Amino acid sequence: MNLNCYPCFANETHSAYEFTSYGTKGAVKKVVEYAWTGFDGVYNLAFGDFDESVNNINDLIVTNNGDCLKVLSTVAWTVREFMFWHPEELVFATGSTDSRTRLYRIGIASNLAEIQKEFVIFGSTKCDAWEEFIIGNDYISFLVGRKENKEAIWNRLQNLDL
Amino acid sequence: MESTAKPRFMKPGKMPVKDMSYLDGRVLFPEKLKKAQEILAPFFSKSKECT
Repeated sequence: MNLNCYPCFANETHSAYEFTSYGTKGAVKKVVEYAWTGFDGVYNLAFGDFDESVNNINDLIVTNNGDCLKVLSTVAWTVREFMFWHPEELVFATGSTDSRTRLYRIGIASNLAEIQKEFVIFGSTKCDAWEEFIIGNDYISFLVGRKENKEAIWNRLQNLDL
Repeated sequence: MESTAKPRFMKPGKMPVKDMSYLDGRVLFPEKLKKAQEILAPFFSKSKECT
């Protein structure tokens, strides 16, 4: 995936990543978290600004640093990195707002051919059914896994893997 | 000044590791995790490790 990304670092378990966004608002520390959902092998992807003065996530501001595509590219690289170290896991993602979800959807659609070289992406439109990602559909949630696991993932989503 | 050169870590598995112990022991985005769990619940069973 040849996208412009920020230099990024991983923690020892490759379940959290940090990078610094540089833009019109200056330097902003970003953290990407892969949190276990409690479901076997399924992790939730979330990212945001980290406020070092309070040692916590700052969810109240919209950074608008003018580099959202580069931030998203960097986050996408952490997905690839996470999947390298955790090849049997699934990554779930959805946006905190409709506009962010739409941005993720556009990003996936724009890079789908490249993504599908290694991964399989499923999308859900109303959270009541999943399908393999089709460009143009208004998905609100996404699941990513390695493509060699596609059949097993699909069976799980169909509740066939009991 | 931003560099447009491809970072060395872009090869999978080569991202540098650093101490992030300041993140240990907590969920950074609890509301987002909760939302994810609600969406996924109809499709996945709870891990036996949770019982």
